[in-house]
Amino acid sequence: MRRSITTTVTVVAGLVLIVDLLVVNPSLGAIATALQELLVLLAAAAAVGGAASLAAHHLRIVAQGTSDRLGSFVLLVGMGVILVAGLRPGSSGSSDPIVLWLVAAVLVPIAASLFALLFLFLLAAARRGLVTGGTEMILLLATSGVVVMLLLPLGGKAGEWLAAGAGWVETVPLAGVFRGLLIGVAIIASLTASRILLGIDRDDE
Amino acid sequence: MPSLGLLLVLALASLLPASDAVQLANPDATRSDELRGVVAGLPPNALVLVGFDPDLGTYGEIRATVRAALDDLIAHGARLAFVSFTPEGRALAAAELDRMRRAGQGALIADLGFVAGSEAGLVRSVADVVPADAVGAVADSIRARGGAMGAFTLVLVVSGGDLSARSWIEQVRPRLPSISLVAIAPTFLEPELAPYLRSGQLHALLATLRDGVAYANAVPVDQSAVTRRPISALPMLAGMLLALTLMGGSALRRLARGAPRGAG
Amino acid sequence: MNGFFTPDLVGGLGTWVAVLLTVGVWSYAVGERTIFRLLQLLLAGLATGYLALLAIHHVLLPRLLVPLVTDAPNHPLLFPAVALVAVMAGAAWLPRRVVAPVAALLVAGVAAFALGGAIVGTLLPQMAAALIDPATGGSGVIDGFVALAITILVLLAFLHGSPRGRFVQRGAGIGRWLLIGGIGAWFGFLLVSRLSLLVDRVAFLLGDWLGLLR
Repeated sequence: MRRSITTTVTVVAGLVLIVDLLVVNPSLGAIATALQELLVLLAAAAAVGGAASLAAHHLRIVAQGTSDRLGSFVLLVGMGVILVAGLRPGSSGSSDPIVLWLVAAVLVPIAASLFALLFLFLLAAARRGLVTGGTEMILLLATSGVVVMLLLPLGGKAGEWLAAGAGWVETVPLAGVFRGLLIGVAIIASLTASRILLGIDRDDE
Repeated sequence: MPSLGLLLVLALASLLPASDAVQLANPDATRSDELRGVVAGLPPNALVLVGFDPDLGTYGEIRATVRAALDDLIAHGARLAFVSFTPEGRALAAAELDRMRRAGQGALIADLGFVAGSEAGLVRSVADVVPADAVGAVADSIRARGGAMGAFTLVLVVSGGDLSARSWIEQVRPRLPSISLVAIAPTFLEPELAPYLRSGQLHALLATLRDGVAYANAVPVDQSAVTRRPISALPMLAGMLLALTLMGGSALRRLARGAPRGAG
Repeated sequence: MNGFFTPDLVGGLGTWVAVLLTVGVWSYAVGERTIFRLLQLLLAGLATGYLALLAIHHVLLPRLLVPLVTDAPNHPLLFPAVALVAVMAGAAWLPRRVVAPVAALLVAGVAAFALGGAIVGTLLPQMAAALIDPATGGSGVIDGFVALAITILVLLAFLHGSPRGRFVQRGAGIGRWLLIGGIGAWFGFLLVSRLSLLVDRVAFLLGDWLGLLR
C-alpha cells in the first residue's frame, strides 16, 4: 500500500512536469507551476531539516563529552553565528552587513584556500600515478601534461603556436570526446529517470 | 612534496615585474570577441539577468573576468538583475552586489535573491523570477515586462560546479528558446560546456583562464580597476613549469624502473 | 584585490581574519592536521547555517509563512503545503511511511527535470551538432569528421564489457582509450585551474594584506 502511494505520487508528479515541458496547456501549466513551487518549498524545508539534524547530532557529541567535542563545538559555533546574524530581528538576511563580513572574511578564505591546496594534492597524486599507475594512468597523465604544456602562458610566436594547438585540441578531439560523453550520460540519465518515474526497481520498502 | 618551496616560488614570481615574453591572455581572441559582440549588440537599457552560481572555492579564477563582464554590460547601458540557485552562489552574489553598490552602481542593479530547489527553482523562475520583496527601478522594470525570465534580453550565467550553465541550457532554453545565454565558468567546466557553444545553445562562453584574461584586458577599465586585478602570468608560468618538471621527473623515475604494466 | 572588504577598520579586520584562516588551511601542507580539521568543521558549520538561513529567509518566510499570515484566503494551497513542508523539515525524526510519499515528490521532480533536460536540452541538440557542416569548408570538414568519429567511438565505449560483435567491441576499446585521453586532458585543465586559485590566494596575501602588489 505504502509502495503504491509512493509510486503513484512519483508517477503523477513526474508526468505532470514532463508533459508540461512538451505541451502548452494553461490548466496543466498552472498545476505544474504549483508543483514546482511546492518542490522549491520542500527543498528549502529539506535544507532546514538537514541543518537541524546535523546540529542535533553535534549537540549530542558535545553533551556526551567524547574526544570529538571540540570539532563539534566549532561546527555548532559556525552554524549558530551565521544563523543569529542572519535571522536576528532587523537583519536583512544574506545581505546583512555581518553576514556579508562572515562570508568575505571566513567562508570565502577557507573555501578558496582549500581549493588552492588541491593543486598540491593533484600534483602529488599525478606524480604518484606516473610512478605506480598502469598504462591507462600513464595515458591519462601524459595527455594532461600535453594540455598543461599547450596552456603555457607565453607571449610572441611561441605563445601563438601553443594557443593554436590548445584551440585545436579543445575544438576537435576534446570536443568530440566530451560530446560523446554528454550524449552517453544523457542517455543513461534519461533511462534512469524513466525507470524512477515509472516506478521500476524502486527501493522504498 | 616540496609544497613550501612551490609557494615560495609562486610568491617570488608574483613580485617580479610583468614581461611581454609571458602573456596569460589568449592570443586567439575569438571567445573574448564573441562575448564582447553579444554585449555590444544589446539594445539601450537592456535588462540582463545574471544567474550567479559560482563556487566559493573556484571564484578566484573567474572573479576578474566576471567583474569585467559586469562593467562591460553597465558601460553598454544594461541593467542587471542577480538571482542565485545555490547557497554558494548567493553568498558571492550578495558580496558582489554590496561591492557594486559601494561603487555607485546601485541604481543599475536588482537583487532577486535565492531560489531553493536547484533545477526545480530554475524552472519555477522561468515564469516568475521577481520576489515580492525586490525593490528598485530595475525590479519594477522587470515587473512591468511581466516579471518572468522572458523580460530579459540576455542571461549571463556565472557558473560553478553545483549548478552550471548546463542546467540553464537544459532547463531554461527549451522553455524559452528565444533567450540568449552566455556563460563564464572556471576552467574545469570548459570541456563540459564547450559542446554547447558549438551547438549554438550558448552564444558566448569564457571558460578558460586565458580567454577570461583576454576578455578582461579588452574591457576598458574605470576607477574600480583595482578590484579587477587578473591572475598574474608569471607565477602561472612558474607553477606550470614546476608541475611539468615534477611530473616529468616522476615519469623518468618510472622509465628507469621499467616499462608500465598492461592496461587494466 | 578581492574587493569584498570596505577600506575601514572592519574591512581591515576582515583581511586579517582571512589571512589567518588561509595560513591555517595551508598549514596542512606542512603536516598540521588539527587546525585544518577544525577549519573544515567551521566551514561545514558556516555553510550549513548559511543554507538554513537562505532557506528560511529567502524561501520559507516570503513564499509560505508571510502569505499565509497576511493573505491566507487567497492562498488556500499553502495550507497543505505547510503540512508537507513540516514533514520534510522533520524527516529525520518522523516515521519513514510518513516521509516517503513527500520525499517521492522531490525524487519525481529531480527525475522529471533530469529526463526532460537530458533529452530536449542535451541529447537532441548535441546529436544534431555532431553532424558535419559542409559550410565550414576544407579543414573545417576534416576537423568535423575527426570530431564525429571520436564522438561515435566514445559512445561505443559506453557498451564496453557487454557482449557485441567484434567490430563494435574493437570500436568500444578504442573509444575507451579516447575517453581516458579526454579525461586526461580535462585533468590538465583542472591542474591549471587549481594553480590559478593558488596564485590568486598568494596574490591576496601579497597584495590585499601586505600591499606589495599594485
